[in-house]
Amino acid sequence: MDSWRALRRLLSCTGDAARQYTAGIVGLGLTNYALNGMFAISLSAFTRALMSGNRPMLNWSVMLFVVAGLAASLGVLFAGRALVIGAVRSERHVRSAAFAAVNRLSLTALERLGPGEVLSRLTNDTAVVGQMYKQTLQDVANTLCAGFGSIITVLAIDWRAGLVIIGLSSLTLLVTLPLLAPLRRQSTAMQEAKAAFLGDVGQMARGSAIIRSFNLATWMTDRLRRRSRDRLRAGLAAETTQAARATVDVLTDTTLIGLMAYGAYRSALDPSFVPRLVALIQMSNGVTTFFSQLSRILADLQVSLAAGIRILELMGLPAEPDHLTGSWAEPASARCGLGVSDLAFTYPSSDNSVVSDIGFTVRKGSTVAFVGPSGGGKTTLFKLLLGLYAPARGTITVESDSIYDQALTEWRGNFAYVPQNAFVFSDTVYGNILGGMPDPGRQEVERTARAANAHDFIMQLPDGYQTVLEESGRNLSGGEKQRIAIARAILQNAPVLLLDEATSALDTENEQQVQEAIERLMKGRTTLVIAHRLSTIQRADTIYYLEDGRLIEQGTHEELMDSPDGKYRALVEAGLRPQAVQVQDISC
Amino acid sequence: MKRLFQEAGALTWLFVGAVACAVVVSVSTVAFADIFGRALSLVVAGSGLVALRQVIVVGVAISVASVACTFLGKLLAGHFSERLQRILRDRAIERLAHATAAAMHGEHSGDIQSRFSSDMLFLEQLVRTDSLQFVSQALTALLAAAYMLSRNWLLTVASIAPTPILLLVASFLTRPLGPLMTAAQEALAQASVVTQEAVSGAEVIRAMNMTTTVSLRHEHALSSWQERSTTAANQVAKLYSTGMTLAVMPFIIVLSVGGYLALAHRIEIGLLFSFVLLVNYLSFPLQEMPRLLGRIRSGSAAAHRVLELLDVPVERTGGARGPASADDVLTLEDVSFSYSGTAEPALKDISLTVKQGQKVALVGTSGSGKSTVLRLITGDYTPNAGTVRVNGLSVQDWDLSALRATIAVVDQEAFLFGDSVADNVRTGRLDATQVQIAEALDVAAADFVGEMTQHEDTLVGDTGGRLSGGQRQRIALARALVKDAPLIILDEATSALDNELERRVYARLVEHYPDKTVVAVAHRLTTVQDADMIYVFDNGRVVEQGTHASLLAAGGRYALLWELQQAQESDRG
Repeated sequence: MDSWRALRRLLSCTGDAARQYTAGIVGLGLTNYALNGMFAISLSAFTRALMSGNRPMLNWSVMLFVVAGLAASLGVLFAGRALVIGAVRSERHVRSAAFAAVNRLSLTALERLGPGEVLSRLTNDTAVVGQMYKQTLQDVANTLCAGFGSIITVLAIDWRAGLVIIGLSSLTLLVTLPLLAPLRRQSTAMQEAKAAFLGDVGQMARGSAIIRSFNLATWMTDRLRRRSRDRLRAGLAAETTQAARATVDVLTDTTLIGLMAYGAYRSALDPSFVPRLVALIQMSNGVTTFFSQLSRILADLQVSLAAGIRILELMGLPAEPDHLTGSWAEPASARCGLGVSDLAFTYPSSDNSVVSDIGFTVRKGSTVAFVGPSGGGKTTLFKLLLGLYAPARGTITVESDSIYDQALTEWRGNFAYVPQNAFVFSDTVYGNILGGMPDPGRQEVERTARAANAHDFIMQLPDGYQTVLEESGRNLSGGEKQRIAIARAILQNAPVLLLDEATSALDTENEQQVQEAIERLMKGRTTLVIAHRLSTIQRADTIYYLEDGRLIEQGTHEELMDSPDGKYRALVEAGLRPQAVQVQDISC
Repeated sequence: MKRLFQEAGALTWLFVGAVACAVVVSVSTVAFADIFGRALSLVVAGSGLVALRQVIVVGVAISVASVACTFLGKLLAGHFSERLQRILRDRAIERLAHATAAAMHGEHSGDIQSRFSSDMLFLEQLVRTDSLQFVSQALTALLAAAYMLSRNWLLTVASIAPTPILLLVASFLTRPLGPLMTAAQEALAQASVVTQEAVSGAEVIRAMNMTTTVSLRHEHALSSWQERSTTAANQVAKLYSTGMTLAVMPFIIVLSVGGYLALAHRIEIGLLFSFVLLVNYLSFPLQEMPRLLGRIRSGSAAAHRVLELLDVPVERTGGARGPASADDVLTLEDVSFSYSGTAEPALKDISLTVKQGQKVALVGTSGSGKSTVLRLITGDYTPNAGTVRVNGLSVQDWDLSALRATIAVVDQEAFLFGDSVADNVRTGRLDATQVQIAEALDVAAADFVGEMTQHEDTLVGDTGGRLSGGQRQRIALARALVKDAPLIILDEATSALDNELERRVYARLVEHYPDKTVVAVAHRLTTVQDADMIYVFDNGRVVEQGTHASLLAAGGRYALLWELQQAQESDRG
């Protein structure tokens, strides 16, 4: 996307704030220019009055100074308010739109871009664009208004003197333009050197125990010294260029000297030129600023637009459709709790199937377990069931409805999902249990929490159900978070339960509580579980062994153990033994 | 500031040079106004050609001096700042790399990073810009005031008299702005928490049809941010306006008061315009100085935080190299220890002995003191009473790096550097060969490495973030194995592995390194049931010791724990 289109689209993002914002930005630019112009007019009258000793004229010109000053202050008050408020409203629109885009992004698109990248665009880039509305565009408008205004004005006052001013001012371009590219390159190099150094500092801080115990202090300092030296080199190069750039601010005095010299020459020929000279001196300020600052301001704008482009790209990514499209040939038998036939999935960017040829049915109310090595396709299968990934081929049905018949939101209503690592929001406990469902009342929520063995610990939290959980539930233990997730699933009361069993062991007390809660949750529900515990697997009505994205074996525990070369049997014999209990937290 | 120049040493001359340049620029600013005014007076008087010569000769000279000194001053200040920062960085790195465990324990890595980034940035701003700006603004203001007072005191006083009043108005307007901005920032922070969750919880949010709920929460936070920002914006507009008045007021006064004075021939027109040029340098510092001083104060505070890194306590150096091996590899004699700042001792009168080649386990509830014992062995902490001996020599007498060369530690966290798998294993022994690395990975059952896209050269991500906990632990184990130290310490080293893998890893460890002495801490009892000796910790004491069989037979606490887990297992099955 080129910068101009990005700028136009970002300006259209101001939405209902567009008029207010434009009024503010144009108003401020014009106020600045008008102040200069009025000062120039009154200065010229002022000088003429002094040269001719004309007191009434002096009175008028002084009054004009005061009026110009007051008008400018008022103009700034109103235009400034319109600008700042308009900028806030515009930033709000951009933030809302970017968030909404991410929120409806398909999971595959989000995973491909990377969560870190998405987050950085949502937080850092939106802040840069906010700053663009507040400051950068205002600088652009001011410089352009004052610049073009002043150029026209000086030419109108005296075209030859005007050309002198413009010619001398534009000399600063000789310094700023050649430095643009090196400045950009050096600032990138500097950022990279900084990031590399900081990354290693973070490693040194977090790995201090390893550095001590493996005697790595010298190794680490050598490494960081190299980074530090690279950073120094980048810094020195940037400083030198910036020092050269800084001369521009003093070079503007040259314009004044040139103008004065030219004015002296003209005044010697014609004394009536003096008042015009004074007006020109006043207006030359706008011209020199225009030439000396233009490159910097455009560079700033480039940086803002780069951030804006990243946000616009985010907004342009494919959203999740309301419906998945596809066709299915054979209607699944209505008795089926859940049916999957000929299911396959391929990442959009690759040719390799992640899962393929998956077909099975789950009787209503029964439990099936999926086992197999990690990366075998269990998690992908769950994502397909939930409609988070769109199947490349095949069908999924719940009772007699296919995934293609229902809107995705309706389809997902068929499932209660308990992920491996329970996810809680920085909301109240109550809000976390509701998880977006309509509130069935405190009593019902409490009953659910009791069933999930969560009520007791919730009541011990400072504000009970109204306790606001910290970011990623830091104030809860892993087992407590899981019980909240289970409560949510119970309350959802969906026909099918998808359970991704946790691999890492909890402490004993939590472990028991969580198991009990899960058993209650599973009761009477069609359940699909990614299982890690032998006890869970043994209880399943059917076990599926997944490897390389295919169902390799299926049967009950006894049946599978009977097959002498079976993968499942090998897995169990190799040591998928009953999970040992941990000693932690046992008081005896 | 003083300490900064001490650290800078000879570099300080660069800064002195920059100050000298700033002085030249200040003088030329005032001289420029003077020559400009004189020239204008001559022009008005009709002697334009005299003025022409003056302007060209003197003006160009002043301009050249000013441009040259601006360039040189910025260059010197920039180089001073960069080189000073390098010195500070390198000294801080040196300290941190040798910091004591106690010093690093309380430190958050984010805090250390922020001292190197944002605090360093403030420091840069201080030495490179703010301190020099202070010098040049103050000096220019003084020179301008002196010049103006000497030429016309009445006009000088009149022109700056109202500025203090307007400054009061501005500070009155600024005061409520701080809390308003903070409130707006808080609302924005709330929105960014929701944003974070929307991304990290994307799967769950979609699966549970929560997109609308999440959107509403985000909109709610944004609305409150917008509302607060708008209130602040009204205030900001008033400030803009006051700023504008502050900027034009001195000009208007100089021109009006000066105009009547000139009409009465009490001041030359040219001088009047010199005043117009100079009055800015008088009123601007008045506006800017409070802000500048504020920046200098926060810069000094930041510099202080950077300099604190140079005072981080470092580990002792020197000591004896103990024997490479001994019959009693490890002995603790009546060892007591408490962490500073805690009343309750972490260890009370611990005595134990580990013989060469023994596999010993420490078990007990968390906080019972097992890990603390390990920290005393590696010399991270020193006991308050009693002696810890490694190979017969007290840890306090060992040279710390020699001591640690005889011990290989694997901890639960399994920290990895953001390099490749092979590079990480190599940190165990920097001169390890490819073959040795491959062997260590093999014993640590890190078969998964073979399936990674670039095998051993695959990057593990920041702190090993691209790997699972179990994968990290196996690489950390390989790192310890390649070190080939006689004593191996395993602190919950396989906690993220499933039972099958854990058994495999331990079996291979014993098979390949039968002679190594191993001290292991574990929660899971099955992990350590084959140990030669098990010490059961409780509340900082050893309450039982023996083999798995003898402890079971004794029917004490260990037996109780074992029973409990068996019972729970059969319940569940």
